[in-house]
Amino acid sequence: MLLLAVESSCDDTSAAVLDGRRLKSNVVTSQDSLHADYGGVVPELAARRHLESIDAVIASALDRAGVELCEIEAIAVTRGPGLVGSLLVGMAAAQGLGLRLGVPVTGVHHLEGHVLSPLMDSEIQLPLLAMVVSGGHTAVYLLRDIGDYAELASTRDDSAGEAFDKGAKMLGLGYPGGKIVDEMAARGDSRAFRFPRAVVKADPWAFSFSGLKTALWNQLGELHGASRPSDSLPLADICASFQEAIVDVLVDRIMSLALRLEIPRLAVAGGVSANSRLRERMKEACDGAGFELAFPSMPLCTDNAGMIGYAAQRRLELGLPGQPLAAVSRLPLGPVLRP
Amino acid sequence: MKLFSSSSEFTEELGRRLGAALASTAPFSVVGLCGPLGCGKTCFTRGIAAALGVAPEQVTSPSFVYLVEYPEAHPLLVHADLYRLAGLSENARVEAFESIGLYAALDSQALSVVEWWDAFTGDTPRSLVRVEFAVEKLNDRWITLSFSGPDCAAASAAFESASA
Repeated sequence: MLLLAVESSCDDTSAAVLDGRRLKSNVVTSQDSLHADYGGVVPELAARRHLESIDAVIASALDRAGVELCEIEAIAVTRGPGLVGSLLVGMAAAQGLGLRLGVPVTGVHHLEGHVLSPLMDSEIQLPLLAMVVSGGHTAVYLLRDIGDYAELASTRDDSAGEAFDKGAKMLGLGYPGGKIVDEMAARGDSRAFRFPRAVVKADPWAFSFSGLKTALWNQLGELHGASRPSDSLPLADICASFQEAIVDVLVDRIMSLALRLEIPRLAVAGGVSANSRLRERMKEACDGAGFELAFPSMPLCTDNAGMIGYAAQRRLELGLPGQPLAAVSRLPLGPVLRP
Repeated sequence: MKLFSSSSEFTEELGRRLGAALASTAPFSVVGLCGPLGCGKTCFTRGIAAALGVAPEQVTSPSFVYLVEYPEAHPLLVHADLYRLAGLSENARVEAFESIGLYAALDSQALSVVEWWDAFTGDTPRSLVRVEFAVEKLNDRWITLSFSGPDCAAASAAFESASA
């Protein structure tokens, strides 16, 4: 079955075509290069840009898949969580096309796309534990089966992606911060500086990254206090130590949860799953424990319609209902479960 | 009004007091939070949200998602964050704030809490509490609240009595 998927939950507009589970095209408008032109953190803007680009993005996805619009048999679209105005643009486009083609339109949970994305290029089986690490989200989910999920842990304050971005900002590095910190860290010593690995007393599985900003700020104050000019800051060592603090917590939580629940299959998805140190440390930990591990391929890490179409397809195969076609700002993927 | 906090717990508690004061004097439109990275803006918002009936662990930083709604709050709570838009030109910011739904939120009956308020451009809200965080050292922060608008006397009195 040929399925068209649309995703517009935050910054990027994306469309994809799938034939069954197989991805035929996956187009994302990403304008990181534009951000750099502004010399800072400048996202491509939400709803208005989505409206400007959505038709072209859909046309491009069809063209790259070699599929005519009239051949599409179903449409999937992200309904949340996300920015309501942005979601509405994708949903209006999907519903309009659905009416015109006379095909069903199904709503998809954005995070279901992320948690299932590691399955797109691997043979890993459910049940498994999936960690989503991105700018908007940081959480671990138990995937018992397609459509049957529980939230085991989530962040109490900042996301992991945000910690990378804001750390990079404090260090005067460019945008996107996560990628630059990753590159700088490769040349640094991760034991040079000590950054906190926070534990939330009331919820020991939870993530907390907001204290890292204060710790970095205080560390920089100390270095400046030693009257070092800022251009002589040991940036590579700071990046490596800062990154290690984030990665340590992520690896520790998902490994501890896997041992606790005795589930030897792990997946890591979302924009931060592209981080090379996180991939390396997860691989070491899983090799040591004899666990299976899956990551999405690089283009499937950040927000994209391909994963949305894949999640819709997996649900359709089982006859599971789609999400209602109403845009929502916040939406849990499943009930909270604290083991 | 200038207050001192030496912990994130107390910063959250101050937010809770402000939230309670604003809930009792509703409608009050906007709380604008200003101060550097890591100064306690999201933490303070968590306190406001708790006072309006939101589970505090539900409140996370909206830097990457720009704006989230808490329909379970009374009054309805909107939590926005201009961090990623602050570097834009004024015209681009107006366009961006329109697109993320900020102006609509400010005009609504919701209580809007906006981080990185100094980046705001547009009509000054009818009633505003501007909260400025200054980092003293380590975990010590000075927090300055300025109330403005027709409802400010009642709101500031309610906050003062909660803090007394």
